[in-house]
Amino acid sequence: QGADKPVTLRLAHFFPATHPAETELVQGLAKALDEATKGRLKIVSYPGQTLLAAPEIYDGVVTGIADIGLSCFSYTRGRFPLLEVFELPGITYENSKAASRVAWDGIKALAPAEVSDTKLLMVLATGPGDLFTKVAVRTLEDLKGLEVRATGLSAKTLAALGAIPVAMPQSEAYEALSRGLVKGNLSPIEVLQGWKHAEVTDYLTLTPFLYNTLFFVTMSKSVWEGLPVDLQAAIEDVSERIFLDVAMGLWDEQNEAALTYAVETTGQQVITLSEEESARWNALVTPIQEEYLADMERKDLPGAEALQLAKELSEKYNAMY
Amino acid sequence: MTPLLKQAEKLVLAACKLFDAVAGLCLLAVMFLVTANIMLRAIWKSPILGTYEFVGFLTSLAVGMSIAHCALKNGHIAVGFLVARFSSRVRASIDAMTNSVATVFFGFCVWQMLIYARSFSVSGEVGLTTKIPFYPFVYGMAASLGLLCLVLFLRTIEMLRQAVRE
Amino acid sequence: MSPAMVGLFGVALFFLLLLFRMPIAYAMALSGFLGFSWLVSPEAAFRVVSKDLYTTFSSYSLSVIPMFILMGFLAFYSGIGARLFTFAYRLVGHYPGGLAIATQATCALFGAVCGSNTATAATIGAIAIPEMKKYRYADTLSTASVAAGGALGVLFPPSVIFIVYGMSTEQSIGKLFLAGIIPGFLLMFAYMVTIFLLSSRNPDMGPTGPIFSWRQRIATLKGGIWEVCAVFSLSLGGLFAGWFTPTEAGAVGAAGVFFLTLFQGKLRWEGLKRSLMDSTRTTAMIMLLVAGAVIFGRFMAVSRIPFELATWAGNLPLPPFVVMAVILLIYLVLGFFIDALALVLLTIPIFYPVVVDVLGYDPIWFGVIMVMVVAMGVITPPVGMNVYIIKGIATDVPLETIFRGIWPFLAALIICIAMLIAFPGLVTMLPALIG
Ligand code: NA
Ligand code: NA
Repeated sequence: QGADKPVTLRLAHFFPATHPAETELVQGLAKALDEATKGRLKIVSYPGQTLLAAPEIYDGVVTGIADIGLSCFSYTRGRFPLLEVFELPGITYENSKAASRVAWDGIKALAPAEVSDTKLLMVLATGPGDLFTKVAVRTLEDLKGLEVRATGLSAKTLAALGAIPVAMPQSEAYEALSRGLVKGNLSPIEVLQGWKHAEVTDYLTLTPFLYNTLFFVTMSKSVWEGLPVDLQAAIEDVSERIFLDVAMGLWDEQNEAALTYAVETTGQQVITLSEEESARWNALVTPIQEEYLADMERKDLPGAEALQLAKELSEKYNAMY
Repeated sequence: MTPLLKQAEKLVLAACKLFDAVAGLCLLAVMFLVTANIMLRAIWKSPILGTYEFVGFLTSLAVGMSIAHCALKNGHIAVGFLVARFSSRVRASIDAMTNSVATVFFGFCVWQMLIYARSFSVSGEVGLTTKIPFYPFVYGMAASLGLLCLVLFLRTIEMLRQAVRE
Repeated sequence: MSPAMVGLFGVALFFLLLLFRMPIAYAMALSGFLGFSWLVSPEAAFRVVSKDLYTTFSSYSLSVIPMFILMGFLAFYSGIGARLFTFAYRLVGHYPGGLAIATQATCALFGAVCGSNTATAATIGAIAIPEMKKYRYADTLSTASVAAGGALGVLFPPSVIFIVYGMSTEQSIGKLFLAGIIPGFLLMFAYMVTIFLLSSRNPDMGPTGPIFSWRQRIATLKGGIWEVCAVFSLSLGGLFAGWFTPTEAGAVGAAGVFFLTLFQGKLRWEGLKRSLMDSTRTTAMIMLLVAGAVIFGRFMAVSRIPFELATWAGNLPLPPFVVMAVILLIYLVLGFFIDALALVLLTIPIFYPVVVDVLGYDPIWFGVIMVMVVAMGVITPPVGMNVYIIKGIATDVPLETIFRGIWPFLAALIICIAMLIAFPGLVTMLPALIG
């Protein structure tokens, strides 16, 4: 019954309407689903937090405000404890392709209970985050006592390295950088162009082992279960294809464009850490991994297994991409 | 007025004043916390790491806990030009109606806010940096809305009595 | 029934509730809730209400509003505001509407530390409106001029709306901030001229006072103007020196007034208590309104009305400036019902590509136009946030009186927007300087 009436699904996310996450990922997914189901499945996108605020998106999908949601796991700290493994410092991600494959393959293998209340369609990652600063950071000593904008896990990472983490929304970071309230930011390079941070910082220290952020695209379980089998198959099929073709490389594309912009237009100076220096940094952040393991043990979650998996997969996919 | 109702009104009034006082202290706390954080950051280079979250928590208390008192003082503004044209009896009936609708609506909101708070304590969601759980503050919000509901309920009864008496 | 129809019914219900004297915040939340229930589900609608209440109340960015309000009431109860106005009265009180004109300059000055429309109206309102009443200014003029003047708070940097716009369109926030300055002065002068003309034509509006000698004027300076200058310089200087962010500036301002008056013995226990009580009442009123507007905005979003209007306008086969005029008209109409900031968030995704890519207007210019549009939205009835806020402060003035006073200011605002459309250079000149 109702086989010809198209199913319309509300998709909520927080990216601006002009951001590639909307124009390429969400619209790409919508178009591919429309084609694959011959118009039986339509997606209506609500970008820019118009339907749900960024930290509310996952819960909004669980409670039926949206049918599909795209947001960060880390906006709701504590709700996805096991998945923090993919954002821990001390594991190197060369690019977003590798980071996304590690996260998505890893989550499929671990099948954590914390995401079992929705139907995950894909998980993508920003890949490495780098330090962009107003003063050159070449060694740990340069970073010591430097105010850097960071929230959540990144704040802990920076504190471990001797920097002073200052928490504020990304929307305030530009002003804070331009006035010198903070002297740097730890984020994917995309932010240099997207948020114009290249205008207010001069240096870029590459730190591919400090940062990673995961995004989910997930669907309401009850909506998923209410769909006919052929539509379910189409969604799984299309999601996997969009993940491989669009999602996993989405941040690489933006990071590359932003790097070109920052270097060529604003004269950003790129600093690569020496091998010994990287080792010193890595040594300082390892305790955060140990803290994670202890925390998982308390919660009776397979933390050691997850960490082992993240390390193995990252080596495999760093070599591949 | 029945003594029971009078007693209830006294109690609700006292609760509103108490909540409002807590809200005022929360405002002062935000003021002191933010300035202390700025000074610690600028002079001693050691900011209070959780300021960002504490400000959110305290502001939610400051706003939530003053809502009922604000309603008691008719602080939530309304458009009165149409109702003002009617006789005082019709006016009281209309106010009884809108207040009862609002009572029911916010009554449901309290119930839902409790469910929301519970879902936070179950999912284990915590502040981004300090990892302080925030379900207690959502319970605080539910309590604040509950008090608002009581204020609206008493206002409904008062208006009904006026409509009948006059 | 189509979602757009449900949307229209929701708007009608909202009006009905308003007419029955339901508080505006409740009416927005309730009609938004019912509409969302209809279009999605009651369970989802309940969760929307819970979420938006909690998220709005605990918002870090919005915490600047209560702080600036606290600063305003502390200044009022400690008597700083009164002394400031004695000085202003002796200086310009002999011109028609002189105090209201001086208040506009105060709004602009305050805008240099405060980035929020709402907070500017509330803070200046708490100080200026009782003072203007003391000098027998008409309620329509004193309340409406402050409600309109709040917009100067966002045109002069820092500015919340420019940040939101810059975020959602990936435009340089620094350039947007510069772009707002000339239009800010333009609007300030337009408002001042409006006040002058109104008061000249009707002397009861802003009655003229005696002319004071310079000695008498300077005498009031000793009464404590330097305190205000100290707090203001501290806030502005600290902001520029990078000691604190625009969001933190609210707490700095409040603490500045608090300690200053405390050490001078001007802030007594009674005054502090009243400042706190008035601040919590005003804060509760404003934040519940904001939350109500957010909930109603969610309903508008699922009704798809803003999206459909935008798509329709973008496809009109007319010359660019006519389409632009139609778009502004849509904003004026939508601004009647939807809160300004929610409106920007809702419509930028669709209007921005139309205006910039299709019609070929400058993105920075459109950002300033957005701020002007928001300035209209917050003073037009029935949903005019700044007017509500002023009503919350001047509790004895009927809402209708304030709205009645708004029309000349709305006209001045529209003339300013027309000038910015005719001479885009007014906007783009300064940002062009930094390339
Ligand atoms: Na400003
Ligand atoms: Na309006």
